[in-house]
This record gives sequence, C-alpha cells and structure tokens, in this order.
Amino acid sequence: MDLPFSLTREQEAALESAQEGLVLLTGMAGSGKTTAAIHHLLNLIQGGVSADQVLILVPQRTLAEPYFTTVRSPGFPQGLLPTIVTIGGIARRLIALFWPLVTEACDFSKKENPPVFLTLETAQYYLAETADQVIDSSSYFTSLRIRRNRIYSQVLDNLNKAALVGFPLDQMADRLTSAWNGESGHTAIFYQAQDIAVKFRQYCYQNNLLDYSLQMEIFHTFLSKQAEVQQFLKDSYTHLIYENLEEDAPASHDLVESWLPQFLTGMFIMDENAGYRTFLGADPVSANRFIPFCRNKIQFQTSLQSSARVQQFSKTLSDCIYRRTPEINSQVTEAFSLENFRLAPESTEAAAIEICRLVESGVQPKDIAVLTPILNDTTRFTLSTALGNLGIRSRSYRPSRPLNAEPAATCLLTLARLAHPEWKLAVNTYELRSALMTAIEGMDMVRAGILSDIVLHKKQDVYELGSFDTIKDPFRLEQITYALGERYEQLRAWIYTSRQSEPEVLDVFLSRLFGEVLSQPGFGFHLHYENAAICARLIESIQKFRRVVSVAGTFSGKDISLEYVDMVNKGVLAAQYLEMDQDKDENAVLIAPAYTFLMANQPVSFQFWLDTGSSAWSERLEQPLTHPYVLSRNWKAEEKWTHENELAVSQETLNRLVAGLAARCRQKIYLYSSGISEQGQEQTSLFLRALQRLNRHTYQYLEGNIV
Amino acid sequence: MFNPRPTQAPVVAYQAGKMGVSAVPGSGKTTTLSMLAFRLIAEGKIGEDQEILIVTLVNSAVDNFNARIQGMLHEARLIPSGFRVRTLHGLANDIVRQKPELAGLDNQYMIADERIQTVLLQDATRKWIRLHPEVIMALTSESHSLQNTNVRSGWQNLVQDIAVSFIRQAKDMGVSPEDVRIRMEEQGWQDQLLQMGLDIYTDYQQGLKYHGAVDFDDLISKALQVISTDSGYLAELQERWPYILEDEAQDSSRLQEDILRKLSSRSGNWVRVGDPNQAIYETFTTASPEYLIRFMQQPDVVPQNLPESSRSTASIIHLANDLITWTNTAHPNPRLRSSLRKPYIQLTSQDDPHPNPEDNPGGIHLFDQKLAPEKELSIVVNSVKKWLPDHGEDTVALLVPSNPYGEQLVEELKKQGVPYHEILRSSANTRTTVNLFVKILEHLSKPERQSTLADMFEAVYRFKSPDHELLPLESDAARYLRRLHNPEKYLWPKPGQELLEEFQTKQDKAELEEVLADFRQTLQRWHQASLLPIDQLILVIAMDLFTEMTDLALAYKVAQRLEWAAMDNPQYTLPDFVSMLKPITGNKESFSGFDMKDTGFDPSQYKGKAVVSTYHKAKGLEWDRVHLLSVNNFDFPSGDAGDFYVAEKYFVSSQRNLQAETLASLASLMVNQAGFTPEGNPAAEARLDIAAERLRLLFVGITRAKKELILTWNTGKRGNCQPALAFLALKNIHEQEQQ
Repeated sequence: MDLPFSLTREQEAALESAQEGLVLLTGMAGSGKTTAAIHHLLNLIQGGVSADQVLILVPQRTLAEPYFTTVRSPGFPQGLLPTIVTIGGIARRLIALFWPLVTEACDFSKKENPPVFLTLETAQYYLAETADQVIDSSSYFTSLRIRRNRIYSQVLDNLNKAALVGFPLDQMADRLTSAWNGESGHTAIFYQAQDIAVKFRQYCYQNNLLDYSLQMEIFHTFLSKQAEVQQFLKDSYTHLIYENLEEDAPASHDLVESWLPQFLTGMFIMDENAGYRTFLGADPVSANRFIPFCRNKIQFQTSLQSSARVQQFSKTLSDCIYRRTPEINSQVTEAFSLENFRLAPESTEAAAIEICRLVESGVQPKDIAVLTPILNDTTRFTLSTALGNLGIRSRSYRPSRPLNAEPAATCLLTLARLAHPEWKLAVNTYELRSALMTAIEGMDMVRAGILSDIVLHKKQDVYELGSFDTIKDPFRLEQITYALGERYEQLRAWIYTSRQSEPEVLDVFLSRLFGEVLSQPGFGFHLHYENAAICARLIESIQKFRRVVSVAGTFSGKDISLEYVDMVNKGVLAAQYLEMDQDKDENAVLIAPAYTFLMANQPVSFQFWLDTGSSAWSERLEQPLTHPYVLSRNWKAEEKWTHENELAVSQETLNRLVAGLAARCRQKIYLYSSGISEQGQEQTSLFLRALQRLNRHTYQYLEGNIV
Repeated sequence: MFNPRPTQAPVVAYQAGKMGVSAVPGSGKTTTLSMLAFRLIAEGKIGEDQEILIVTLVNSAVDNFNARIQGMLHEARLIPSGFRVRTLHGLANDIVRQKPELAGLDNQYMIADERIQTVLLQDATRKWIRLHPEVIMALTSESHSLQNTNVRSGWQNLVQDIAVSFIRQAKDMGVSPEDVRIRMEEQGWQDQLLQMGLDIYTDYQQGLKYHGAVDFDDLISKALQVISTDSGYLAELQERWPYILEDEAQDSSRLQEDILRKLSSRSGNWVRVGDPNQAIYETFTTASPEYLIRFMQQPDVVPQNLPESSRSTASIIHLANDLITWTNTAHPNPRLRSSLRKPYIQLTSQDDPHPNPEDNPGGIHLFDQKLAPEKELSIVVNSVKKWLPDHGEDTVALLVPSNPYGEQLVEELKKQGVPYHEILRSSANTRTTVNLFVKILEHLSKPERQSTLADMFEAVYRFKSPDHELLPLESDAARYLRRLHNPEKYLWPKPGQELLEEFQTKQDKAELEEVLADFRQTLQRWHQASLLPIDQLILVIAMDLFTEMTDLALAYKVAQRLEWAAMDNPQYTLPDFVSMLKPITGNKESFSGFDMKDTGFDPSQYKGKAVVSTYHKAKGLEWDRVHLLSVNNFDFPSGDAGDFYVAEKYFVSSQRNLQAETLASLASLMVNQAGFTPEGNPAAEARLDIAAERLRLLFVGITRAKKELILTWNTGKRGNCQPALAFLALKNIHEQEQQ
C-alpha cells in the first residue's frame, strides 16, 4: 500500500471519529481528506468488515480513481471488493436488476424486453431523430439562431436537470419562463424545448430506452421507494464513504439521505469551495443537509499540496476578483508571475520558453500543467509543437472534443470506408493523403499526396487502392521511397484481405486494424499514446452504439456500422467523454482545459494559465434553452434572473475556479494574458480586470519596496 | 505634447455634461478628442474599473485613437489604460456577447459577413421572382421585354436592392418579419411591393437563423434590445463608462443615438463630434446629420465649433466654402439649400505649428470639356502619368463614384503603365491577406508542385516585407524553389538528402540556406496542421504570420467562413476552400473586416502611385493631389427634372422608383407603431435625399485635396449626361475669383 506513514492531526482525528456513526470531513482540495477516507476503508476491512459491505459513492468517475488505485494495489486484502460507484451507476444496476418491477409501474411499451441504457451519445442520436421531426414540421425556435446540435444538447441538459433536481419535466418551461427577465416573446422557445423533451421521453418509453435522465427519474421517484429495493440495499451495504458530495445533484442527495439509517458508519467528504459541476446539476447547498446528521465534523485546515505562498496568492487573487484591496507581500509576489502580451501567440511562445527553463532546471515535465479556459486545436497545436521543438513532451486532454475532428479518428474511418466497398462511400485523395500521413510513420504530406494521387482510383463505383508494386515510373518511386512504399503496401494488403474475409462489425474491424497493422513498428499508432487512446475511444463509442441500437430494435435494414459513420460525419455522434484518459503516468507536460484539470484532481508543482484575458474563465456557457441556476432547487419560483445574479455567479465561478486550481498547485503559477485574443478582438473580461488590479497593486508594492 | 489651438481648447477643457462639436474637414478632431480623453484620465476622473468610451465609425479610426491616447499616456508615464475605443459594431458586439440569451442568441453566434448576406439575399430574390412572374410582368414597361437578358438581370438586381434597403429599414425600425406580417393583416394591406419585401425579409432571416448568424444591422438592434431589457447590465455599463466620446456623429442613426443615450444617461457625460457636411451614409437608412444638429440645439448641450483646418491650400478651402455658399443661397431647389451648412472652413492662424500649405490658385482645375467616360479616364490617367515623375514625394488619388467605374479606371492605369494602388471593394490589405491564405492552401493542396511552393514563398515574404517587395536573397530563394524538381527532398528530406542538392549557384549559399531552412520549418508545421479541421489550420497559420489585430480578426473571419462551409459540406476538400476564397482576392466580391468599412489605409505609404478609391472610401483621408471624376448629373444630381437617378430603372413602367415606393409603404404601414411618418411622394423625396447626400459627397471629395484639385465630368453610359449643376456653379465662381 502506498500510503503516507504519518498522518496529519486532522487525519488522525477523522479516523478516530469515523469508528462509529457519521462523520464529516471538510476542507480544500489537497488537504488529505481522501487519504483519510482510504485509511478508514482499510481500518474497516482490517476490523473485520467484509469489503463488499462498503459503498463508496463518487459524483463522477474520475474521483473514484484514488479508491480504484487502492483496491487494485497488491497490498489490498484479497477477496471481495467494495462497491465504488456513482449514484447513476447504482440506478442503472438496480433498474436492470428490478426491471420487472419497473415495467409493472412505468409506461414502457415493450414490457417483455430488457431495458436499453443510453449513453450520452446514443441519447443524442435518438433525440436528434425526435427533434428533427418536430422542428422540420413546425415553426419551432424561429426566434433563435442556433445550430441543431446545440438544440439537442440543451434539451438533453434540461431532461437531466429535471431528473437530477427532481421536478416534473412539464414544469421546466414554466420555471424558465418565470425567471426570464427579457422580452416576453422569447419564452415560447422554452415550451418548444419542453415539447421536444416530452416527445423524446415518450419515444423512450415506446422503445424501452433509458437515457440518464430517465434512469435517475425512475430510480429517484419510484424504484428506490420500493420495499424490495430498500431491503436489497440494506442487505448489501453497511458502511458508506461519500466523496465530494458537493459535486453531486439534489436527487442523489435525497437518495443517500433516505439510506442513512442503514449505515453503521458513514464518512462524508466535502470541499466547501468547490461545486465545479454546477452546470451538470451539482448543488453544494443541497449537500449541506448532511452536516446536521454528522456527529463529528473535522475541518482540514492545511493544504498538503499547495504551498503557503500559493495559498496566500489565491487569497490575494480572490480579493482582486471581488474588487477588494488586495494585500501584497513578498510571499505573494513569489507565488506568481504575470506577463501581458499584445497577441496570443506571443504569450504561448513565452510560456513554452519558461516551461523549457523549468525543465532544464530539473523540474519533471509531468509536474507542469498548462491550463486554458477552453482548449482549441490552435493553442494545443501551437504549444505542443513549440514544446516539441524545445525537446519537451506534452500530452493533452480535451474531453469534449468531437471525434470527427481528431486526425486519428478520421484516419481510421477513411481506412474503414476503403475496406467496406459495400457502403458505397466516396473517398477522395485528400482524405487518403491525411489517412496515410497518420497511419504510416514517417509519411509526410508531399509523399502521401503523390502516392494517393497514383493509387486511388474508382472502378465500377468502388474506390480501389492500387499496389505500390505496380508503380513503374522510377522518378515517382524515388520520390515516394521504397521504405514508405513498402509500409503502404502492407496496409493495402491488409485492407484487401479484410475485404475478402467475412464481414465483421466496425469495432471489431477497427481493433484488428489497430492491433494487426497500425500499432506495429513503422506505423503511426506505434507508441503514439494519444492516437491509441483515440482509437480506443472510437471503438468503445461504436460498441456502445451498436449494442444500444441493435438491442433497442429501433433500427432495421440499415447497416449499423454505416449508420455510425454517417452520424459521426453529421456531428450527431461525437464520442465525447467527460473523463480524463488514463495515461497520466507519462512524463509529459499536461495541456488541458482548466475544469478538466480540476476534476481530474491531480496536483502539479507549476501551473501555467494561458489566455487569462478570456471571458470563458468566468462566464458560464450561454445556453438559451436551459439555465443551470434557475433549474436548481435553490432558485425561488417567480424570482427574475438579473444581471446582478449573473455578475455574482460569474465572480463566484471565477473565484472557485482559480482557488481550486491554486489548491492543486505546489509552487508557482505563471499567468499569461494577451490584450488581443486569437480572434483578433480586444479582451475585456472579469478575470482580466482582476488581474489588472493585481498588477497595479503588485507594481505599487514593488515600487514601495524599492523606495 | 499636443498644444490645442485656441478653437480646440474649449473642447479639450471639457469637464462634464453634454457637448456637441461641429468640426470641419481637417480640423484635427481625432487629436482633439484624444487629448480630451488623455486629460480626463490624467486628471484621475476615471476610477479603477472605469473607462472612457470612444465610439467611432471605422476600424482605422479605432487604431488611430488607440495609438494617440496610448502615446500621450506613455509620454506622461501613466499606465496605458482607462479608455476603450470601439466602432459602433464593435461596441454592439461587446454588449451582445455578454448577454446573447437576452437577444435570443446562442453564445456561439456568428456575424454574417457581406458575402453570406449576399448569398442569402440572392437565393431569396431568385426564389421570389420565380414564384411571382406576374408581378414582375406587370411592373415592366411596355417598351421592354422580359425576353431581354439585360432586363431580366436588371430585375434580379433591382429586387435585390429593394430587399436590401427594405431589410435595413425594417431592422432600423426594430420590426421583425412577423411584425410586418401581422400589421399587414390587421390593416388589410394589399401591396405587392411591400409583400415582396416582406417575403424576402422572411426568407433572409430564416437563412441567417439556419446558420446561427446575425448581420451587422441585427447586431445594433440586438445591443439596444439587451440594454433596454436588462437594467442591471445597463447600470454596470454606465458605471464602467462614465464618459462617452462619439466621433463621426453626423452618421449616427436612431439606434446608435438610442444606445449611446442610454449608456450616458446616468453620468450625463456625452461628447458628440462630427461634421454634418460629411454625412454620406444616409440613403435608405435612418442615419442622418439631423441627429447631431438637433443634439447641438438642445438647451442642455454646450455647442462648440472646430472651424480651422490646416489641410488644404487657401484656394481649395475657398472652393469648399463656395460650395456651401452656393448651396445655401443659389441652389435652384430651395429644399436642398440646407444640404450643406456653415461654419465655413477657416485657415489656421499665421503662428499655428501646422500651417496650411502655401497657396496655389493654379492648382485647381474644373475641366468642363464634354467627355465620354473612356475619354475621361484616359485623359485623367495621362495627366497623372505626366505628373508622377516630378512628384515622387507627393501623394495622389483618383476618386470615382462607383466601384465598376473604378475598375475601368484601374484597367486604364494598367494600359498606360501607371503605378497604382486601389482601395475599391475590399482594401488591398484584405486582399493581400486573403491571397496569402489562397497561396498557402494551394500549396497544401498540391505540395508536390514546385510552382505552389514558390508562389507561396513569394506571397509569404512579400506579406512580411513592409513594401511588399522581395529582397534579392528572397528572390533567389523563390527562383530556387521554382526550379526544384523534388520538392519533397527540400520539404521532408530523408537521411542523406541535401537541402541544396539541386542548387547550382555557390554565391551567398549559407544565407540562402538559412532562409530556406527557416521557411521549411514553418512549412513542416503547416503540413502537420493540415490534418486539423480547416478553421483550426487557418488559425495556426495566422498565429505564425500575423501580428496585426486586423489581420488576426480577418483570419478569424476566414476561419469561421470555411468552418461553416465545412459543416454544411462535409465532403469539401482543400481545393474547394481555395475556390471559396479566390473571388475575394480577385475583387469580385467584398469581404470586409469586422466592420463594414475597411481599415488602416495610410495614403502616405503610396507615394509615387496613383491611388484609386471611391469618394466614400476616401473619407477621412487626404492627398496632395486629388482628381474628382464623373462629376455629372447622374452621379451628382440636383433634384432637377432633367437629372437621371440610379434608382429609377429604364425597364420599369413609368420609370417608377420602386425602392423608394416600397420603403415609403413600409414606413406608412408601421407609422403608428414605430412613429415614422412618410412625407409626400416617395420618388420625389428619394430624389431630394440623394441630391442632398451627393452635394455632401462632392464636399467630401473637394476637402480631400491638400494642394491640387482637378474635377472632370463625363457623359455617362448612355451618352446623355450633363455636368452636375454644382460643377458648373463652382466653375463659374472659381473663374470669377481668378479674375
């Protein structure tokens, strides 16, 4: 077991009080709460509790990571394992288990068939069908200028909010309307969005489809109240650890609250300053309900991760955000550096150089994180090539990025089209060129282009790949080089063999393509972790899609693989994952969106905050069809959402975010801003104004010191 | 540090409240306003989170204000902050961007540029004409046949023009297609023209919505909508901007005035500067110099004048003043006599640090010979050709009323071999930038072709060079690339392949190698970036090449447009994107930057070249010598019955002005609702509006000249035009004065 030998005073106290009844651990990130909980888990097991009697609840799967690491470690007692799960996970398991009970009471049309659990992606897929029919045959959303995909995702958001907050779907529009502070004509769209949500829900009932919202709703309002289920839970679990409950939704809190009597011990872990998942329904206020139940409350005061000076800086920054006069001292000035540039590229370059300096001075690349409010390709590409040129490895996480924008995914899908002539999908030389550049190591754009032009041809409606061996022109052969030609030939041969063999489903096809060719030496996915991870995501996405649509029986006649490829092209399916990939042990500089970094909860020594002028640091995503604050339990009916509310929320969001980041930084934060954004616009944002204030006061402090 | 003139001093000394300033051309209003902003900041009138808001018309003015105020603050050792300069569109975008939901927008809304607007309008117009042949037939004059292709394309253009102005006016009034429709139903209106405008407006808005976009006019009305709805937000903006300085206020529209009035209503601090005589953007909009004039007459407004100009010679200033006098006292149409107003332009005093150029009465020519358009062009170009060699340090512009005539002029300049620079539809800068992308994307499409490599190399290095010329070394490198048999060996050498394997000349080899190696490094990045989605590829390239805000903004627009195309057409490849961009570089279509007007043109950089511009685009600029072309009664009508009007089409029965009629109908339909009262006969009113605006346009033209001014006229396309009345009047007055 890789646990610290000595525990802090707070951790000792926590373990002491956890022996019986309910205890609450509060404190900032990195103060050792989870470590205490893991010790508590071990104490329970060593004290004779069967591990499978322990329920460990997490609001999001990334937060389960420390627990999984513990139970997988060789030192963990052999035998049964605790259940580490989200509330959604429990809901899904129990719905599957008690499905007959569910169909008896709920309106599912195919009572004899099993439930089909939808992923975010497949939910979007089915919602798109429903929504398109409605929108195409009505005058819905005429006042709204917005792309279809964004309508789908906001309707899904509303469905989830209704389930997570716990109000009926048909009240959503009334709620949004009552808080609307703008023109009255605007509110029609709330009802239109609601209508689509209701129709989608009906469709789900007709086809036994359960998206996340329906799973939660059924579990929350019906299933969890059934005696059989309650008995089952009571028999299953006697000890509870509830991690970061402030990141969970009120419906989850309701459920846990109703289960409290069954637990002999319970440990609640809370970070009062967090609540980053508000836009996903997290409700820190609702989490406070557990405080009175706890016999003991242990406040974790000291950060084990973040240094005192970074903490002081965090406080100073908070003052600036709230327009108070910040206190600057030498500790604070050592904890940060702030550089202003005119243009975004200049600041990216400066950051790369500073990172290089750190690495040269002995800092491990994995101890450095570069964080942006939103990570686009341009920043990622520019920064990772700049670092690469300086000989520094980097890795990046962009969980919300659609797969059809990833070169590795488009490469795989292009090769899939070539291997499936029966789909009758076109492939052009540019797609082939890109695919070859990604698939074959050392294949540059010029040679890939020359090769593609020669080999790709259409014969009776089928796109064929010519053999390298048939190229006779010695000039071309010399250009392409035999080494690259040989690898192309290998890939081509594999594709043609695959055409001859029995048809197989797309995910199987891709995993063979990856395993038998692309991951081999000489090919582009060999030792290329990011490409491999994307391949894995794509395969998983296809598997889930295939399972769902084939079980649901909503899909007849069409080739599922072909439908999948179509939907990826249309952008309906994006294979988006909300969680971080698992190659965190790689010694590379992390480049990630700030929130992704927060939720991954892996501290580093040095943080680089780029694009601090951007308003995305403080502003919530503007979504005309939904509203994270109005659609929460804390919102009073009939109250209007005003600019003051918005400003307060923005300040709070920004403050939480930067405090959360600072709590995950050991030594120093480097801030970069540019007066002009990548879009060529002058920056004006809450964060920039706070930083200007910081700058002015730091300047005055330093001037004063010199005098 | 800038020392204000006695007439500028009261403006610079402004403390609080409302002030209206009437400033003549060349009176230094940018400097005066900058000085005022600087003074307010330096005196500590601006709190920590506050800014002086300066609103102006074009981006070049934004840059200009920024540079000056920053310079003054820098000189005074103050932190360069506390002010914000915005165009009205920029301001509106800032306002809406923070609260898109209040305007019914998604936070990823995009701003439709002119091209997108044109495409949507063309589609809607075509569809309408196809569906309503009977209306077109009934409106066509009996002597013209719809079989004639000119008539048919004339109709397409006319209907589209009507739709453009209909939509603009409706948006200016703040009415949606739905509002118009309901109103028509309520009132039982049957009006084919109005119905036509409404149908196209409806289609157009649906098109915008489909793309999640707004146009420039929407942006303004949305901004007003946002601050009218959210009082808390408005209060924050009022707090942030305790002083509002408005430049070019003569082109203010009702909506602009409403926005700025709201923003300044709490502090009451609003300074509006403009020249009513330079209001040239008013036709078919609610923009009007009347707003500024009325403002200056309000009891709570302190009126000021900036009457002195150091720009031109005394003779040119006299001529401009003569135009004012003639208009006020002798214009045959009494209703046009207020088109231009006093104050007269005054010369600067003897001891002014910036005196007027030495007078040269012979520098003014009003060439009254009757000329066909081709003849006018060849005479003017010939005259410039003779003049240029002796005036290497001077600047010269040829101003034309319209783009097509400007293009003919460019042809003539090419024919006679005269070096020129044109700023017609899109500025050369926009075209150079877009052309750069075309060259790069062409290379990325066909990297194995040495020509694409060499062309791109030249484009990139020309772009980087201040005078757009290549250094000898760079020319050598381009030549080398053009001769390269195996571009892949240069671009992606395999072990053992030498960079300069094929290069023969030994001279300067090391330096040449360096240039080529540098370029290769950049190119390899772009090759790798070609795997990214098209918009991201464009932005990566932009990050590598651009250092100017306007270039970056333009690149972002290019990226957005291509991303949009890629979403609608997933099958698009690089050559498709190239063919989307090419029309812009060929000047076939307009691709303005964020603002409707192009940015950053500095005449002094084009010494020794003839600059071709429209009268409109020349506003705010100055040259040593200016040619005003086409001063006839078509381009500068006088409201006289014998004049011709652009909007009165020969193929329309009775040559009705359908545009004016449609707009008048719209105005009277909405009259009770929006408070617009149409007056008199729409066609006649439209004629008067045009005539008045064209008088001011002539005034703008004249006041562009520093030392020499030459006016010519032509007989027009059909050979039946006469010199403009104002031209004849000025000729007369000028000759009398000479004597």
